Order: sequence, then C-alpha cells, then structure tokens
Amino acid sequence: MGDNDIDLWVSEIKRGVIELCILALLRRREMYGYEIAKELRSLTSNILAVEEGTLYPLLRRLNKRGLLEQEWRIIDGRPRKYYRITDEGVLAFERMKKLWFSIIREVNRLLEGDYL
Amino acid sequence: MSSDEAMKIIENYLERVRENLPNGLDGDIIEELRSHLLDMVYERGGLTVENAKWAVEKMGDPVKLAEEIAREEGYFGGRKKRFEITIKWGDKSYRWGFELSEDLMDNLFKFITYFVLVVLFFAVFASATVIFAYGNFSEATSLIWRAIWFMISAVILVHVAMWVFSELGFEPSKKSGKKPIVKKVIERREIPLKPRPSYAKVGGYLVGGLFEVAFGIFIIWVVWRILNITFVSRILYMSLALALIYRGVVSFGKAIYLALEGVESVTLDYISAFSALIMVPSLIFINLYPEQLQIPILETNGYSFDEEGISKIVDYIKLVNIPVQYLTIVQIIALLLIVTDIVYILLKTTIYSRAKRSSAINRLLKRS
Repeated sequence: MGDNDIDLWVSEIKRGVIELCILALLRRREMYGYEIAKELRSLTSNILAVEEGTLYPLLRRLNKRGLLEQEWRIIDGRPRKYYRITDEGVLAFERMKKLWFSIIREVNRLLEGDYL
Repeated sequence: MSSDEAMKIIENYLERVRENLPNGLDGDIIEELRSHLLDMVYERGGLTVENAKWAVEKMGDPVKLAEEIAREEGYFGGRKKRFEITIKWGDKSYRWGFELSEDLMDNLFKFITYFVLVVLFFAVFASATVIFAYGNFSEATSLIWRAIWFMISAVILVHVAMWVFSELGFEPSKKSGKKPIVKKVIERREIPLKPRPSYAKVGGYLVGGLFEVAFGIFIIWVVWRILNITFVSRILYMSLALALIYRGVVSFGKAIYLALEGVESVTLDYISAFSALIMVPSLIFINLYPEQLQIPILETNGYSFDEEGISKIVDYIKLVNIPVQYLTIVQIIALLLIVTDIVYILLKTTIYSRAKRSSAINRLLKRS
C-alpha cells in the first residue's frame, strides 16, 4: 500500500467523521461556515482540518437531511449564514456518537489483540 | 488598486463556481462562498492579490466544488437533474429515480417542439409532393409512413447520442488539466465569461454535422442520376448540397474545438454562416431564369418500396417546371433570399468583429 493509498484511506475516514464533528460543534452553539472550519482545525490540532471546498457540500447534505437549519445574518456589515442544529439533528448526533464509541471500542480491541 | 485586483480574482472564482451550478442553485451558495473567501483573506492579513490567490487555491477546483454542491442537492454530476417518483403503499414507500442531463432538460422542450414540427412538416411536404405529382395518395401511403418513421427514428437517435455523450461525462471543461486554480481563474479573464457550454452540444454538433454531410451527399447522388435537369436547377441543388456539406464539416470542427477547448469557437461559428453565401449565385440564376427552375416530385405509381428498395426511388423522381403564373413569385422569393443571406452575413461579421475586439486580451493590452 503506497502513500497515495494511505492518503486516500485517511481522507475516506475523515470524510465519514467530519459530519459527526460538525454536528458536535453545532451542538454546542450555532456557527457560520468559516467558523466551523476554523474550530475543526484548532480543536483537533489540524488532524481533522476540513478542506474549504469539502465543507459546504457537507453542510448542504446535513441541511437537506433536516439535521441543520440555517439563517442569514448581517454581522459587521457582512452577510453570514449561521447554522444551527435541529432537534432531529440532536437525535441523530446522539445516535452517531454512541455508534462511534462502539466502533472505536471494537476497533481498539482488535488492534490491541483482545480477540487473539 | 491591489484590493480591486484581489476582489476580481475572488469574483472570477465565484463566477466559475456559479456557471457550473444548475440553474436556481447559485445565489445562496455563491454569497456564502464569497463570505468564506473574504474571511480567509482577512484572517491572513487583508484583501491583497497574494491572499486572494491563496484563498481560491485553498478552496479548490471551482468546477469540482460546484459538482459536489449540486450532487448534495440531488443534482448528479453538477449538471444533471434527478427525477424521482415515490409510490406509497400502506406504510412502505418505493422510490424510483433516474438522472437526466440538465442540458438535455433545457433542450427537452425544444426537442418536443422541434420533433413535432419536423414530423408535421415532413408529412405535409411528402403528402403535397405526392398529390402534386398526380399520383394516387393511398398508394404512396406506405412509403410516406415509412419516411415519417425514419424521421422519428433519426430525431430520437440524435438525442440519444447527445444523452450518451453526457452520460459518458464527456465534459470539455475537464480538459483544462492540472493547472493551479488561480491560473485557471485568471486565464478565464482572457475570454468573456459566459455560461459553460454543455457537453451535450459536442454530441449535437457531431450528429448534426453527420446528418448535414449525409443529406448533402444524398442530394448530389440524386441530382447526378437525373439526366433531364436544367442548368439552373442543377446549380441550385448542387449549391444546396454543397452548403449542407460545408456546414456539416464546420460542425465537426466546432465539435472538436468545443471538446478540446471547452468553449465555443467564435471563428468557426462565423465560418459556418458563410454557407448562406454558397446559395447566392444559384438564387441569382433563379431570379434571372425562373422558368428554368424545376422542383422534384415523387411519382410513385407502380413503385413498391418493399420490392425495389430506396435506391430505385430516384427513378420515380420527376422534375416539374414551375407553372407560368408563379414565376414572378419565384423571382421575388429568390431576391428576398439573396437579400436575407447578405444581411445575415453582414450581421454575423459585425457580431464576430465585436466578439474579437472585446476579448480580455485587448483589455489587458489597453490597461498596460
């Protein structure tokens, strides 16, 4: 498996996780797009830094599924679209978080040799 | 000013995203992306050209971004629309969907109109030809129906070909290669920004060109086999065939250019217009010698398509001179067509000159 394959694997894992992280951030407070990208970078030491071009399709996906809602506001004279998690989004987030911890636990068990 | 130049880079980038988004999807997301790019730029130190270039590079390929966004909105491939039918049966619901190129969608209404008009026109023309030949209409019915079905099949074939091209993802804009994003965006200023041409157009030009060339060759074949044709008529039909073949060949050129460059060729479009001038000499002859004009009619008495096939149909084509009482009308029509062709070329020349003059290369030269 070459470096390219590893990079692809990493980006696929990140892609799956970023949605959960976005919901986690918005669970705390509402944010606009740039703020979400910035928080993801700083809170995860750049490991889960999302590419600018990837963020907005993801936000639209979550919005389309009804997990987020959005609102335009004028802040300092500039229009910004703020995202807020919906009740359905909170439910989905809680389920995804639970599943995530299960997956992590089982993968860790496998890697640490508990199955062997 | 540097900040104006920086803003232009951002706006050009957003324009590239916008023109690759399906209709109706562009306003909201463009505003959001603009806000994001400005946030990136200001956090980096301000609205400078360097920061703007960095920001658009970080944002990524505008075409891919537009496609990703459109996909999330239910548009596949960025330029396709998804049609879904949901059938609810009790508690269960069944969804079935298919994708259709949005470019074809835009053309769908035109296709239906064009399809109906072509078939109607052909049916009327064929019927009038047969009746005018004093033939028995009922005997020719089978032939006319076959011809109509052929036309229907041909029109459907053209559009299936266009759909296949779009499904294969034959997208001219992808040919721009791995240039840095900012270079792609800046270079875009060298040509007027306009909506990205549909890749279905490549198929349209190819198939249209094929039909024009084929039809032109068919006319030459028919005319060559008819012996008792006047000089004026031969000139007219050969000019028509030549004009069709000329247009067909230029259409192939337009298809290749569009596929390779991702934009329509203004020059080839202008060159294509000259097919109108090919008809002018023959129209002048018709105006001077209208009595020599012959029109082909099909006398199908005794003709059996099943037994003799299409190649023998030429033997049943009869040339008829225009009745004397209509000669003046023919002259007037020929004159009007000459004037129309010349005016058309003049207009095309003006449009072409303007398009060339207003290119951003000239603008850049003027600025420096």
